[in-house]
Amino acid sequence: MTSIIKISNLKKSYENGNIKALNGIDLEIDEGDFVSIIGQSGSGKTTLLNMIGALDIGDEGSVEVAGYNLNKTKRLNDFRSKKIGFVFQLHNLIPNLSVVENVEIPLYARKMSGEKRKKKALNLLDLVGLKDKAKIKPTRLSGGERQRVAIARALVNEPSIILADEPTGSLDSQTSNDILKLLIDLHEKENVTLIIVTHDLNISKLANRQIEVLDGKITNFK
Amino acid sequence: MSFLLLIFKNTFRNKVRSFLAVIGIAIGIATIVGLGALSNGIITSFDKTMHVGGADFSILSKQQNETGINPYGTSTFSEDWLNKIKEIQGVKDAKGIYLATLPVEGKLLAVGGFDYKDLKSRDNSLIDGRNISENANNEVIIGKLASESLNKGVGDELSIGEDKFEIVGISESGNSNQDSSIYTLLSVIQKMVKDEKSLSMISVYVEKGADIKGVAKTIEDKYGENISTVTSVSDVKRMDDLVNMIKGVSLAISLLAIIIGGIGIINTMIMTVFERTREIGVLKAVGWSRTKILSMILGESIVLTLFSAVIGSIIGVIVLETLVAIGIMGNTLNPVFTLETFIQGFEVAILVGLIGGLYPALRASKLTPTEALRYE
Ligand SMILES: Nc1ncnc2c1ncn2[C@@H]1O[C@H](COP(=O)(O)OP(=O)(O)OP(=O)(O)O)[C@@H](O)[C@H]1O
Ligand SMILES: [Mg+2]
Repeated sequence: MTSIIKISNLKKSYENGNIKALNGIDLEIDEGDFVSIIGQSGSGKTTLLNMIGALDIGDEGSVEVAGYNLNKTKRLNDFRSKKIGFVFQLHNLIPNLSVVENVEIPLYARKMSGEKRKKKALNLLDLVGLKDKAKIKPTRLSGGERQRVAIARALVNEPSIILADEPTGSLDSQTSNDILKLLIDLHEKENVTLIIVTHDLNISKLANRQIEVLDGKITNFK
Repeated sequence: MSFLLLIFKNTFRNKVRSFLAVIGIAIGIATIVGLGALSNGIITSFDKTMHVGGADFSILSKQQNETGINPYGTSTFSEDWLNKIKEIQGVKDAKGIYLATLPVEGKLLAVGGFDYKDLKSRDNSLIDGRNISENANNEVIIGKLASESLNKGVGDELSIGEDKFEIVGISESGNSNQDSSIYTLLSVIQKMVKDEKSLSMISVYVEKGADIKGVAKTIEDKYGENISTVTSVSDVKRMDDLVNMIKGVSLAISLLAIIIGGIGIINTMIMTVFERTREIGVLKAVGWSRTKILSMILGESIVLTLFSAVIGSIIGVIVLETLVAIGIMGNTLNPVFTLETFIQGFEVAILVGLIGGLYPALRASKLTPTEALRYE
């Protein structure tokens, strides 16, 4: 197996070095793997995920993801657009746009005709089982349905890696299971690397590998 | 959905706020459009007077030109000038005009005396009756607006001063100035005001292909001490001053509109960016570049001001036309809306959109994705 993520000695601090969010992370993740990240609140899980998705750059160390050296590349947008699909705890959908228009949003970063954008977005809505709700506003959807839309949006760019930060954090357990099932299905069918940050040990157990983070360091990786 | 449509949808997301911003700018644009149309109106109405019957330019007495053009005033000069002008190289013809403000049925109205041929050439503005016959000394044509305000039509008797006339025709040119006037033969009015051998104005027609400005200059050079040639508004000092003053006011208002409207737009757009911080974070997370985000916010700002320009233009037209309809403007001044007046309004609007949207757009584009996503 080739590794898609290679991180060595990654450090990141905030507030002039007073908060060491990441304190020397070494990590390698295989292509097509399903990994969970657990740890206490404030341990640095989101920060780590953001570094992998190039939403932020570390102070020290190196991060290589899907062939991009994130410390050096100037094409961060390009990387985010082509390689990464983010799913957040809060769906962060745009309220005045319809469901399908929300899914189209990432495609504006690419050169693509409006027609093609729409077609792709509808395909993904079909995949998450929401094709019939394509035209309505997200405000009229349930929490689980909104998260499905967010997943469709994360996948529309055909990313190599899905980064999900507590994707079920605000859902009840039944809906939460459905969403996880959907993510895992997609991971298996499309062979996407899936990384989920979670507080929930039951969810964490579903992954092939578990990373435990404490005070900005990986304390366990199995 | 196209990128443009996305921008449109975003612009009117918060309807109340967008509406308030639009109103603020629209008022500025309405003023610019309105003043533009007014100064056009002044120029057009003046031009029509100076180029009566297709004349290439006019000649006024020196005194009248300096005290300001008052085509219906009484400042006159000798009829002898007519022949002197006709002798100038390049002049095909010159015709005298006498203009006076006289009591017509108890109302003070402008009465113009024209050469018979001059009157003939205006045949196509007759909407009722016929033209004045060649040697008639008691016939008049009255403008449509005058006919309405006097409640008189073809065949009716009309008293001007002590004299009685017959209305033989009604004319309409669309110029309210002209349509409120009474027309008769030059000799008739000269006799009536006991100022025979005098003229208020000479209309000059140049030879085909002759240089109008050149001929006017020849006349100025030769007789400039006594008479003035008028080819356009800018030749008449007081008119020129008036038009320039309106242009100045319009410029000042444009600047004010840019500043006030710009501040309003900055405020509106900063609030938008502020409220949508998380959303902008998401856009960055899904791969949008800085330029893309910049162009979206700037686009929203420009859509807002362009919309204001449309509303402002409509308000400008409605307000001016209403003022004209209820007679506040008098009937001598008709606003003239040209493409340029609207273009000026739209230029100002785009400028406001660019200036006002730039800072918020830059701010949005520079947000770091993690900060934006952490924003509550
Ligand atoms: N932009 C920032 N500015 C200042 N401090 C930050 C910033 N981002 C993270 N931190 C701090 O870094 C530490 C790690 O934060 P992080 O969000 O990675 O934790 P987490 O493990 O995701 O926690 P949670 O489970 O609560 O989401 C925390 O102490 C947090 O307050
Ligand atoms: Mg977190």
